[in-house]
Amino acid sequence: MSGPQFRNARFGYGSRLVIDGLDLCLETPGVTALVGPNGAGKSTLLKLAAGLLAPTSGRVFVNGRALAGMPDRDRARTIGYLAPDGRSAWPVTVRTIVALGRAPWLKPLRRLSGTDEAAIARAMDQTGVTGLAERRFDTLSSGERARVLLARVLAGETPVLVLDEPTAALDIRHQLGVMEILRSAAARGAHVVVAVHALDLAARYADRVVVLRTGAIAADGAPADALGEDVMRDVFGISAPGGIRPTPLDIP
Amino acid sequence: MTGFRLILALALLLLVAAALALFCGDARLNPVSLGRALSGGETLDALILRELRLPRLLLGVLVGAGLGGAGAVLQGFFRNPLADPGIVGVSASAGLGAVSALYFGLSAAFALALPLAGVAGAAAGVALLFLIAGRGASATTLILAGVAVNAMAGAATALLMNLAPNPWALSEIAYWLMGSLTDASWNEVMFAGPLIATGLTVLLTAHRAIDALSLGEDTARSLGIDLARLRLTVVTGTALAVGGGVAVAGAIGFVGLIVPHLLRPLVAFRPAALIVPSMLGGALLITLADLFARLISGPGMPLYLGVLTALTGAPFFLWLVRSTQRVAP
Repeated sequence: MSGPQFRNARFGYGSRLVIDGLDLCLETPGVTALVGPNGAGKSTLLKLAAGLLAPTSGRVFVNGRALAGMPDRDRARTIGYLAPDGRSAWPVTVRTIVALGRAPWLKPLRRLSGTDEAAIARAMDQTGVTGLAERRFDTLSSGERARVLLARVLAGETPVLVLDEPTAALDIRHQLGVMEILRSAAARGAHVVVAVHALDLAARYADRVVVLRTGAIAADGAPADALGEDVMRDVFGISAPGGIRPTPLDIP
Repeated sequence: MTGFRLILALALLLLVAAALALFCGDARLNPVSLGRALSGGETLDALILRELRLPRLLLGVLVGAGLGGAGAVLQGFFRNPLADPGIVGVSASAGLGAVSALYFGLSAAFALALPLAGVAGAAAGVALLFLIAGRGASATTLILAGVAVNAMAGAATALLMNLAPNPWALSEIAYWLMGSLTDASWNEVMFAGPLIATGLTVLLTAHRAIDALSLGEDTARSLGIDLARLRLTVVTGTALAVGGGVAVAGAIGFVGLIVPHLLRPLVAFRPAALIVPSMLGGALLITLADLFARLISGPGMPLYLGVLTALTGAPFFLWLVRSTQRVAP
């Protein structure tokens, strides 16, 4: 199984090109962090990778199959996607939300099977929300909501996970918690592509960092290389002597 | 399972309400008359039951189920508790379709014209609503789009009334628009029944998609939901379920708003689990409201069902708008 692959992909809204001739291949499992300034095209790239947008030219593949023309259900069973705005329109229970992740696996007019129940239980366990199962979503804190929505994605048990800023609006402890969950998913063989703003998180948890600037790749490689001093200066316009390095932190 | 128990309880309540509707009224009847009516008896009580109360009851159940079910699905689809076939203009559009059929004499040309025109009007109304409100409309946009659709349908209806050839035709349209089951006969049941039943079946197929939609459109699509197909399902289902009912009973407002709202906490707020209970609840509400309207109507002074539901529904809507404003930041 290989992850998302872009071949000369372009995408624009109207005449404005957001992704400009992107070539990228994430063949081995692991955590790939997608970083870049605001408006660099991170969210668009993730939607292309998840098959929610189709490139205006070029192609996007997952596991060697073109996403264009892949049946919705097959795509949903291959790629899990976490949207940036973590909301639920209705105050349903945590378990109901996590169970939505099984939607691609349900047969018409059938209830959740034993396999589904097991996947839901595993996902809730991995994210530490088992104890919240019967709580209403609107009564949760931001950190709890982020973990519940993450459990929803994990419950799909897709080999590819595409996550748009799962750590936004979280305090540092919850940021570390979310990234730890993604690390263990990668350790189980998932291809994790995650957009993050906190470069420190990328440096700490990613196997590979892709730096995006105005729709094109500015740097791509191991965190120490991709988040080096010159990239920081050229792409982010900040001076970071020695590049971004993970600060020594630990969750006690 | 609570969902199943709720459905059972609503079905039982509906049976009780149906019995009340059949046996109460100016002519007090009893189950013996029902037996006589069903076995083709020709006595007065059997005739009242078979030709008046039974079709009226069935039509009310059908219309109510259509409005309740459509309300539940529209609210799930728009992720908004204010969506209701009446408020977003679907009922008015269906009314316009039916009034056009009356006005241009299509309904006299062939009997199915009236319900079909109602369905066509409703479909145009929902399509227009989608066009104006777009995707992921906020509560405000949705209500504004509803105001626009309502205004357009209302204006066209007013034009047809303006051009009505005689006062008699005018009053016919006006009374019909108020919404009533008074003229219910087996004809209406036969016309509207299949349309509404088809619409409800179509709406039921949306259940998984509207559950997934509660996390937003992108998430729903990533879960394999085809939104284009879902839109078509919602338009078709709503048009049939609401349009078929409006065409035979006029515009009966607020049922699709009140019923899903009251039942939602009982299904733990799950949009899909709300559809069937809302159908039953809509049928129950219309049956009770029509019974009430029938009982307090004096001779020569009929109280229209649509007027009754509007009188109770409008304050409820007001309160709902206030409370959603308080919750939203």
